[in-house]
Formats: sequence, structure tokens, C-alpha cells
Amino acid sequence: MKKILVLLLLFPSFSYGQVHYLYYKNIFGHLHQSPSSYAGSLKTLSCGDRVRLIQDKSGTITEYSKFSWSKVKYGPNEGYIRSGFLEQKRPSCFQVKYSKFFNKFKVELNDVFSWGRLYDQFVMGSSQVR
Amino acid sequence: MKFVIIFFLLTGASFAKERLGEGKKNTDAEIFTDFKAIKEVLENDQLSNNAQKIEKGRVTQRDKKLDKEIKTYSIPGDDQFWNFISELWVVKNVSKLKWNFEKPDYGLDEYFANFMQDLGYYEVKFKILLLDTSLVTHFSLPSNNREAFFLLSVPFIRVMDLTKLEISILLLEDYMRGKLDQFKNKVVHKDLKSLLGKNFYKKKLDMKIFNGVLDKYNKVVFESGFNFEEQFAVTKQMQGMLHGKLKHFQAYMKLLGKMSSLVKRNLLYKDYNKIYPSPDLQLSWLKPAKKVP
Repeated sequence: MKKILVLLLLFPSFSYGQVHYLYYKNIFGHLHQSPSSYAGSLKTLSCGDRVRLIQDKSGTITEYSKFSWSKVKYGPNEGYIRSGFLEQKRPSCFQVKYSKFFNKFKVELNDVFSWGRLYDQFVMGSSQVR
Repeated sequence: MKFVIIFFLLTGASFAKERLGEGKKNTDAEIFTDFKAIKEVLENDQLSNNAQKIEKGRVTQRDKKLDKEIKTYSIPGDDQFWNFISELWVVKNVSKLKWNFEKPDYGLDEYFANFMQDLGYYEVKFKILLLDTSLVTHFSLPSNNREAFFLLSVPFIRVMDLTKLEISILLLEDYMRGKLDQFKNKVVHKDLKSLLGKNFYKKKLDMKIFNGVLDKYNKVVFESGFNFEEQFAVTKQMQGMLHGKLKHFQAYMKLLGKMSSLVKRNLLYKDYNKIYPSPDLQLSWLKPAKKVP
């Protein structure tokens, strides 16, 4: 019994189920108040930012689908990001890989905000091989 | 007698002590004066080797740090630069292009994807940015390999009441322009190609080159557009592409007819021919030549 308690103390995540972290993959983005591209922005995100996928009480993953919205926590804020904009592993980010080059363009705060909005506005798709 | 024995014992002890002291002194002297022996011992203990290893480790760490620093000065290659610069231009022109607006889902993503598949264009990623302005009607901006970046005006498609098929054909025509590098050739700077994929560590990066590219984007989209030669090339490409598909070819002819009519009757689109000369001419290129009986 004592050993189990020690294990629980050392590995707290096991007591509630695994915590899932995801990474934002576009250059900039927004954490939305509700699952809509036009919903207000709670926070601006940059590529590589880590968010925590919110779990329900039973410990199973909720609202996670490649074709829908994910409810996530970013810092103190809880909100929604399109699931297609999140990745399991840290992505290769343009503004990190080419940081000095990117900084030369003097992207201002309002540009960052607009750039985040841009990805919400795109109608995206891909033709597939049948 | 006892005193004699004690006397002899004492003198013997002191003599022995002296002899011992002398021997010890000689041993110490041998040790302290013979540094070479000590040095050899230390060397054999690998201390200098260890010191070299540590120094080598420090040099490797320093080189790694420098290498990491140098990599941050990389310039993206052709495969990553164009999508970035197109997005940057679109962001910088948000007020002119008016793309940040709420709109319904027209189902274009699925329809256009299926349309491209039907024509044999597989694994083509596309993103369509719908605009709430008649200032820009439609464009394909340069993007990365096997990716397409479209601008499409909602007022433009609404005023002509375009079907999804007609919209897809319009986007296909823009995609053809992209494949022919018509837009890219107009905006590329002569020094740009030599910079892409390189590194500017400890060098000055001439931002005039990149700002020049953005200025040329403005010129092509808002002022100059394409010329007759370029329009002829893309029209012939479209003819070749849609020739075997009667429904699509008829839709293309109908689309050009709608645009021709729009340009003539709607003042908002009077400058359309400056950018895309001219739908009437395109129709004439597509119609078969009349045979003399």
C-alpha cells in the first residue's frame, strides 16, 4: 500500500490518466473563445506553442478530431483551436528555422494578429490519389 | 654492572636512531629531488590526456553553438520562400484585400479537390482566400511546390452567379498560370535566385531585394496583370486540358462569356481587361476556325 502511494506521488499523471500536449503548427494563430473561425481571440499563438488537450472527467480525450475543433488550455486560458492546426510533435517552424531572416521583415503586432486570422479564413483542401 | 648495561643500551639506541634518521633523510631527498620520476608517474596516470579531452570537448561544444548560431542566418530555399512571401503580402494588404470577413461555407474545398482529381491533378494542396472586394477578382499567388494559393473575390463570383464548376474552372485557369510561372516571373528580382537557400552569417542582407518583390506583387495584382501573350498561353493550356471533357469545356466557354459581358456592362469591373486581357479574345482563340467551303 505504501509503495502504491509513493508511486502515485511520484507520477501524478497516472492518477488522472495521461495528459496530452499538442503543438500549434502554423506561423501564427488564435485561441478562440468558441469553436468558430470567427469567434473572438483569447490569445495569439506562434508556431511551436504547446497547448494542453482538455480531458473530460472520465479521462478520455474529448472533442479531438482531425476535422473539427479541439478544446485546449494555453497558459491560464481555455479555448478552441482547429484540430488540423495541431500536431503531436513539435513542428519545424519557419520563423524559428529562419529566425534572423524572418526578423528582418519587421512583422508588427497587428500583422501577427492578422496572420493568425489568415489561417482561420483559408478554405483549404487537397486532391487525393484515389 | 647494571649501570654499564643501561649505559651501553642507551648509547646503542641513540646510535641506531641517528642511523635511521640519516637513512630517512636520504630517502626523502631522493624523492624530492627526482621530479622526473614523479612526472613520469603522473603522465602515466593519464592526467594530461584527460585535460586534452576536456579541452577538446569544450572546443566541440563551442563549434556546435557557433554552428547553431550560423543556421539561424539561413535564407529559405525556393521551396519555402514563396509561400512565406505570398502570405506576408496578403497580411500586409489586409485592408485592401478585405479577406478578414465572415462568410458561409460554399463547399469549395471538397468540390475543387474532386475537380482536380477528375483532371488527374493528385496530391495538390490548395488554400483559397475569399475576398470581400471587387478590387481584386482572382489570382494564383506563388506558393511552394505542389501547393496552390488562390485569391477569389466573393462579389465577383456573386455578380456573375457562377456555379461551383465555373468557379473551379476559374481556379484551374489561375492554377495553370501558376504552373507557367507567369506571376513569379514578373515579381522575381534578378538577385533573388542567388540568395535563396543561402546563409547571411556575418554578411549584410539587402532587404531592398525582398521589399522589391512585395512592391512587384502590388504592381501585378493592382495595376499591370498579364499580357496577351501570357493569356494566349494559358488559354491554349486550358483548351488542351479540357478538350476531352465536353461538360468542362462548355463551362469554360460559358465562364468567359459571362466575364466578357460583365466587363462591358459593370463599371466596377471596367479595369478587368487590364489585368486579364481579354475574355473576348480568349473566346476567339478557343472557337474553331471557320473553314472556307
